Amino acid sequence: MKKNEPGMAYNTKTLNKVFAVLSVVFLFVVIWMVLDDFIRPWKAVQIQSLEVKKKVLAEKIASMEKGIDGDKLRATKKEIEQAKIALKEKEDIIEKLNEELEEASKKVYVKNMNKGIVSSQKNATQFNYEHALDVYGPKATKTKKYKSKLDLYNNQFIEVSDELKALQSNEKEIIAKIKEAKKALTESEKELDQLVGAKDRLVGALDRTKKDPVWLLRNAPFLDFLDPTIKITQIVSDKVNDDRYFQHVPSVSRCTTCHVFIDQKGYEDQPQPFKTHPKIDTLAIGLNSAHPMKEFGCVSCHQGEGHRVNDFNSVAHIPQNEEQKHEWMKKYHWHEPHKIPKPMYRLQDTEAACIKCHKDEVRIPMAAKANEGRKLIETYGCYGCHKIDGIAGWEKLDKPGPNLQKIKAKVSKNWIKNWIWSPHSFNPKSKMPAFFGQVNNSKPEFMKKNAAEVNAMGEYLYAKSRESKPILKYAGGNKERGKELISKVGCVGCHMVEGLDEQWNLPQNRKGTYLTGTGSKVDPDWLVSWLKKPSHYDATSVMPSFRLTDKDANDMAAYLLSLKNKKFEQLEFQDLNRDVRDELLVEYFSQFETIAAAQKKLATLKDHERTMELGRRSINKYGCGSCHHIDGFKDAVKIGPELTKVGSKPVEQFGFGHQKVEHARHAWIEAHLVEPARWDIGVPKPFKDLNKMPNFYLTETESKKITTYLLGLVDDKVPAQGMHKLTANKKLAEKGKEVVLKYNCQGCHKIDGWGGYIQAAYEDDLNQGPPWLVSEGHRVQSDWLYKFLREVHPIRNYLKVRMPSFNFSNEELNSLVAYFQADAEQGHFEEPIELVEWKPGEKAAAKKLWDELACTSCHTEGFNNETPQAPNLHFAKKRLRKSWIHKWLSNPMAIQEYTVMPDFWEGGKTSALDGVLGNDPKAQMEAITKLILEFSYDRSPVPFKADGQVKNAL
Amino acid sequence: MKAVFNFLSQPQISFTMTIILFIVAIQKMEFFASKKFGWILLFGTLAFFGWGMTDSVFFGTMSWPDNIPIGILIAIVLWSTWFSLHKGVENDKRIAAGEPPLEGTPENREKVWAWPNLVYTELFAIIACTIFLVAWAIIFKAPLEEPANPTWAPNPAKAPWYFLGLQEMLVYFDPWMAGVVLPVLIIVGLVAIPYLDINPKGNGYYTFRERKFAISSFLFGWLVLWIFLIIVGTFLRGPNWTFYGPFEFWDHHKVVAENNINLSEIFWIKLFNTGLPKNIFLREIAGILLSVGYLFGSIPLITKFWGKRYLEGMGKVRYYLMIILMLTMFSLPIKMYLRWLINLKYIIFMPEFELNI
Amino acid sequence: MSVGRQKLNRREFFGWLSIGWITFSATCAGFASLVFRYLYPNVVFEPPMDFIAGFPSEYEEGVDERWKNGFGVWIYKNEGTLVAMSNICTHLGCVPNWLPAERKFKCPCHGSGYYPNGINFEGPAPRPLERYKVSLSADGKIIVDKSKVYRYEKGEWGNPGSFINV
Repeated sequence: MKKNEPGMAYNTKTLNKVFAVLSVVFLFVVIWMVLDDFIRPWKAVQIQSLEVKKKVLAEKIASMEKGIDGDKLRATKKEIEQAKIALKEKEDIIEKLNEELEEASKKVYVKNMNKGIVSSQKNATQFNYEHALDVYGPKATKTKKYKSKLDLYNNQFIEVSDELKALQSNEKEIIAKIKEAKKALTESEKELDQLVGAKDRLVGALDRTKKDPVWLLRNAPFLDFLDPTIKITQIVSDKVNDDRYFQHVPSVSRCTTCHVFIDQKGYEDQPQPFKTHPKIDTLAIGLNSAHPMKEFGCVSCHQGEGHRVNDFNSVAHIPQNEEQKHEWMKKYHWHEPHKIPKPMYRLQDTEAACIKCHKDEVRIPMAAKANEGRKLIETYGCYGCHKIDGIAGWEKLDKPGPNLQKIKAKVSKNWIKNWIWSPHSFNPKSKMPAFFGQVNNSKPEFMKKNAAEVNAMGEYLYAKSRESKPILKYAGGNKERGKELISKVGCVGCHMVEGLDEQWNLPQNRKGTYLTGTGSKVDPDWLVSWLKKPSHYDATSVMPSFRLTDKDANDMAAYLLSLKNKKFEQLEFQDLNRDVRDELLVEYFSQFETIAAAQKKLATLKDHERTMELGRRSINKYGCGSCHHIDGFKDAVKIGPELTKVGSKPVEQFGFGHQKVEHARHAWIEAHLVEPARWDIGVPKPFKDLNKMPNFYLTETESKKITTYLLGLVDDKVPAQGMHKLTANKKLAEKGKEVVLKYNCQGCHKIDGWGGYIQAAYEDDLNQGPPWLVSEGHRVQSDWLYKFLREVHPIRNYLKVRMPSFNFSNEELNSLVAYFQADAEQGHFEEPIELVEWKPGEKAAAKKLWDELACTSCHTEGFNNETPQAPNLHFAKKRLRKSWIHKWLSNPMAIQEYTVMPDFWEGGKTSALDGVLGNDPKAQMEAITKLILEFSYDRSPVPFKADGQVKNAL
Repeated sequence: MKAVFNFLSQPQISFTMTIILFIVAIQKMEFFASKKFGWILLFGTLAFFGWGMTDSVFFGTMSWPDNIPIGILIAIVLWSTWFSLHKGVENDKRIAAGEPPLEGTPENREKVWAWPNLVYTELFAIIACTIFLVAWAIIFKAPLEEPANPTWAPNPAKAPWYFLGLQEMLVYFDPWMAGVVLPVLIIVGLVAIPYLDINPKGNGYYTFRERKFAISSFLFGWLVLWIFLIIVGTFLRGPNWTFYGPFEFWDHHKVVAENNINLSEIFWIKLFNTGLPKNIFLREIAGILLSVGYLFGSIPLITKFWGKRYLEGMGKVRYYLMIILMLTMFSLPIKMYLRWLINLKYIIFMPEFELNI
Repeated sequence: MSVGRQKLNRREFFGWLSIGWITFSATCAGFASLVFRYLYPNVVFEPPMDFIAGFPSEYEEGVDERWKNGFGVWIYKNEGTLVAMSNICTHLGCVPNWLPAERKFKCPCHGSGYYPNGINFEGPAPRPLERYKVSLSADGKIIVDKSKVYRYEKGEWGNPGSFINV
């Protein structure tokens, strides 16, 4: 052992060595710490953005320089030179003027000071005087002394003020003189600035992107606490909150730290994250857009971890598809975000974010994808089984399936059973989903049980069905004519029909079912009665009456009955297997009792009763009452899980079973919609626990759209200032839109840009289709609209397509009328026009206009026997609003793009007829309007006659 | 092979193995404290870990940032236990040969200056610790997880490592017992050691043989009970506090049959086929008798067959206190075995007094 | 200390002990400075002090009130210059009203009156309204920066940041 010095356990030199080594290591570790803290991924992005900015600015400058007129520039520069030279010659004058100005300004300053002194003395004396007046009275010496002093000061003040004003105006004069002298130069400089000012500013901006020593210092480690240029930027928005559990804090979006140019135009072609935001002036980010960036931030629409900023992954960006996922994994080492409550929406799902604030709107403006998803949910009737609460329009919708209360009058028992077993075998485009034959219930023993259930359900529905006597008997008809009628009269606004020409099959119109194989389905008498008056068979149906004559109804029926499905006709549903039925019943009964007791109970039931019992239980089990009106199932609870908050449902609560589906909400929903029973695959389940959701055979596109909408149904508590607040009128409008949705008005009418899907069949001439409803509340009088919708009468007798008669409830009718009126911001009434009062000479002028402009060449009804090409003007007084008539006359195409009505007054600016009413377009329009109102009917016409006859049917 | 480890690491089996290993080690301390065994321990552990880390589950558990310090601590515990016993056995050899222990040799009895020997080296330790912590903080960053949600408990919800032993005890004992009574007794017991331990040997030098009783009983409580429970709680308990072997994937849906019965139910219903008596004390009579018998009734027996020497040496007060503390300590493994063997829930079940043993 | 006093020669200056102490103190200083840096936040939650006020061409001659409610700023365009005035009365801090009929700002609290250019002329106001920094952005929009103030009585109204030429 080495001998140490006395009292030392170790060798000093060794200790010193150890100390030195440790200290050096310590130094390196601390430096490492500083660097690790300082070098951040987001900083690299911002530094890169400087390069991008340089490039874009350089390009802009280059293009600007090209645009500068070189000659003009040179000329202006020369002017400046000359002006400068001229100025030089005037140098002494200007110098003298400057001296004068200095003097004058000094004087003004001194005088101002004096004025101030005088003013304060005056004010003080004023106070003393008033005080003395108050205390001692006007006659006292003190008071009088103060009064005289006050008078003195007042005069002084006036004097001083005057002098000051004089000095100031003198000063102003001198300034003006100097300005005059320099005018040439100043103006030339202004011109120069106009030519190159913008470019110079850009050059200045380009300069500022340089990484000069100041920049380096500002952004150096440690020193960057002062005023860095590379820094985190954030937007705090109180429109949307972050949920911190029992406390909600305004959301914070730090996205602009990397997305540097998101709010600047000119970067549209750059790669992310340097791209400009799309729709920057209309939808978001821009100052005048619907969602300015400073108010809404980013997280309100895109979700994600707005607070985090470290690198690409910390924010929880979610890739759009597999391709982008692999790209990101390579580029950014992307991995699925862990422990993030709300990762970002995939880019294609962004519109889901609209829903939480626009809850009161039936269709959200500028959210086409979300609206499409919603339309699909409405079409397929998902809302029938899955409750969606709190969002406008879902509660009002009717039950998606047809009414089964009188089913025995319509179809045969065998047909019902075959249909329930496999709807798509009969109607491949059916919206009724398939419960049986799915991937989870196709085992032979399950199929046996299913067959028994279907049998029982069919028996039940048929046995419990009410009577319904047809109001018309089928007498045969011309099926060619029927086909023509179906195409033209308006059925295609809701139905696709087999066999119609391509142009009449409109895939957007699926409110009604696809009419195929009708001849193999319905009772002929039922069919003609239904066509004639749907409400007779089903008062709850939204299907309207087209006021068909008996002949029309028979012809249509003839065509429809000619559509057969031979294969389906031949199907005989198997007989009820009583053993299986009893087995199922015992299973039901033994839920809370022993099997023996259940069997005892079964024995007490007769054969028919047993079938009814199983039928009832099965209808309950499969939730038919959620979509169909069935007697005894009026208050059927919606059988599916509520979707009101599905967008916030924790991913752990979705059952992924054994399916290889990405562990994310959107992936589960997309997979679920395409194949609902997939979660049962590979799981041994007893019959009663099988997944019951039926298969709608949705395509992947449809599934994706619906998923986008559903992801937006969240339970975020949006603060009041974030919710889209509707005006009172807009609220009325949205309520009315719910009715529009229910009755599918938008299938035929394009209402202020929404819907009008039937137009696709009238591409050649939109005038032959149902009219667009543009600001309809302004066009028609509200009480007329009410009466009209209640009792429809034809307005455009030249149209083959017909406005049908709907079976509105009073509440719905009022809601509709209020919708149009409120949406057009109109009052109930305009001034009533009972008597038209003519100014002298006006009526003659009106008649002249009427004749010259040949109104009756199109508006023929009541005037001649030619075919009309325009609405009947005799309805104008009761139907149209006077101010709207003016608007229409002055510019028809601004209202109805496709109209053939000529633009006589060219936007209301020019006279339609020379020499009439002093060529004043307004007076001319007024005259014509008065004429029309004068000859209009005093009352709305009597509605269609009892036998349903209507003029000009096909 | 992994399945074997998973099977062997079940608490019933691994605990038993640990006790057996402990008893053997106490008997054969000379071997276990030897340098040879030290190397065996080192290489054995490294080999096991090296092989284990190839498994993704094992790797995931071990490399989870929260668990890494615990792994390091366990290594330190193992090493320091072996080292002190090694030193003790060395000294025992010297004492048996008549020499003073190492610490008693003249060179080692020399006095040295606190400065710089102590203070300077303390500075080194500070710097080294700081380096270690800073490097650790940079490499294993503190995770940024989601905002704390008081309405959602993570699964599994684990206490800090120093309480995991207690959390594991909670499986077998009622929370009042496992969370309050036993920890207090542990602390009281530790505090009482200087007053109970009147063995003058081993003052200032390592030894094993001269303090065999004290060391063995302490190591039993420390290694076999406390450390073992911490290891189980840290590495072998997963979602729903279900047991998972070191190579077993943490399947949240794993279901284990854990239906437990109280002694009173076994006694009255199973044995005597009657209902439970209404009177609380009558109902729990079996448990009461058993516990009293264990705690007090067994003392005469213990004294007769083993403790006479100690009774004479320590005096009545010390001796009886020590015995009671020891019995309480042993009640933990006893209860654990009762649970594993006969699915026993509570020996005494009196929720009316919050007294469940 | 029994090391014994040894004379420090050049070689030993760079000996282990010195290296040790120098690096140790440097590291401690560095560590302390990082702690200091840590105390300064990287992001602050303050309301934005600057805003974009549109193009100069959007303003008529005279006083414009469009930013008064949102940002507390009057834009005054006059004879080729454009300035941004604070709407805080220099007397006790109330908000004056712009009276276009009388072409003056009048504070309702104590009657301070200012000319359209912000100069006080009546009432208890001791000095003119303060002006904020104005500049033009790269695309020609006005940027008003309220974190920088210019005062007339300090002669700062001539400073280049206090006005823009239009």
